[in-house]
Amino acid sequence: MTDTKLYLLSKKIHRICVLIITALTFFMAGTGSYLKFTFVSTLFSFIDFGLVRTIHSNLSPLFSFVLAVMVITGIYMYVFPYVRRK
Amino acid sequence: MKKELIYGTMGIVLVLALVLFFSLQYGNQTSQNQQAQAVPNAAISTIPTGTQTATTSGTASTTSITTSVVAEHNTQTDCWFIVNGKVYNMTPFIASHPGGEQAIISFCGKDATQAYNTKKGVGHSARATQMLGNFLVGELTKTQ
Repeated sequence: MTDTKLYLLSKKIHRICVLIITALTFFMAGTGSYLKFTFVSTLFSFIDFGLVRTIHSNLSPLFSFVLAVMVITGIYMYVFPYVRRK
Repeated sequence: MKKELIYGTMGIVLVLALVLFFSLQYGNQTSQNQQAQAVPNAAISTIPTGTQTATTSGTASTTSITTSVVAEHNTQTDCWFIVNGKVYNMTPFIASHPGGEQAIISFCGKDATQAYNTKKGVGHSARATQMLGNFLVGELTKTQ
């Protein structure tokens, strides 16, 4: 695969990851805030603490993986123009 | 661009489906735990006579249990441990433990006080301690 094709593929993967990470961030940030800050858990006391913890715990590996893929493709897209110029 | 949007949307739907799946799984586990706790603790009947002081109303907090009795309940399917001088039957909670099953299984039949109080250097939360109370079997007596 040529560098240009790899660049274009990275772009596509990065765009897809951005959309997925948006949804994941919504849940991770929400559940993380609930677990970390008592004023948030007091405000949303109708939501079960155990459920929030379960969702946060089970989504975190997927969140990390998608973020890692996004970072790697992002770094490649960032570096590619400089390398190509040389 | 269109394809990326479709794949991204599918990814979002997958995330929502996963959240729903984990919520349902948690709901099932919680109802199973509640059913397990509703059944009178049959293990109390295995406590040797002479050491038991349980009332007929089944108030677990009045039951005195020795360490040798706790040591008999040392399997994943029958797991008791000691925390801060009290005995707890953790069998229904093993699968739901946020820190993993092995964290509880490794202390079945033993004193887990230090591990419980020093988890990650700060110990368990007040909420965890409140939940632990639901699994109380009785008080520990030091005499064998």
